[in-house]
Amino acid sequence: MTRIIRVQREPIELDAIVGELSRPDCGAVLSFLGLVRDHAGGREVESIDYSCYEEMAAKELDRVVARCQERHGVAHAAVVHRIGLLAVGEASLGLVVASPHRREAFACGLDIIDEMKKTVPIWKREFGPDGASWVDPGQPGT
Amino acid sequence: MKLRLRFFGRLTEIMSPEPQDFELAGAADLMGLKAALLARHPGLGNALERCMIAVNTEFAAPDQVLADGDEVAFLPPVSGG
Repeated sequence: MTRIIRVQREPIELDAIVGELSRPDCGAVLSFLGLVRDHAGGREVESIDYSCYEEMAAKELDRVVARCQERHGVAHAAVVHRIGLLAVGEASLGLVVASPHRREAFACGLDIIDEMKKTVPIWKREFGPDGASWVDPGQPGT
Repeated sequence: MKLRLRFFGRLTEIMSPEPQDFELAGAADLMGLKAALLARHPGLGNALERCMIAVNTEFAAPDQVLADGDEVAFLPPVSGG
């Protein structure tokens, strides 16, 4: 069982995480990058400032990933979330899931992202030509 | 009792993002703390109502009893990813 959880200011090195999780018994290694998109809810976005509750974010992320691993029977998972001001195209989220077969890897990866968006104390503030706005998960395009 | 309060996300437009001490009279729970906060900072209003609350970095029930020295964090709807 491997679980790597990081909340960091440094850029996300997805290849390195893939290397850390790859195992001879895992024929499926799913890797995903979430990038800052140039639009949200019809508005142009230039950058997003990610902030977090440092003392809690990694802890809660760890709990979420552990639950998803158990639910899908996936032994190896890594999630790295970046914090700070990120420009369009920069990666805010890196996820890697390794398992013997593809189905549980895809299901677990999707579940992790859906679940983390509900409880992990991380917030984004979008900046664009129209000014800055806090992202509310109730809004479209988030 | 003395509490340490933390505010995040859009709440930092009203409250400092730095941890702050808050004195609450007598024994209290989260409902009492919220009432005291709203009395002192009416601008928090709806934003506070939509928050999840963590006590000492664990999610708390709305009526959780507080102890001296607790860190109480107000967490607006999260938007990571």
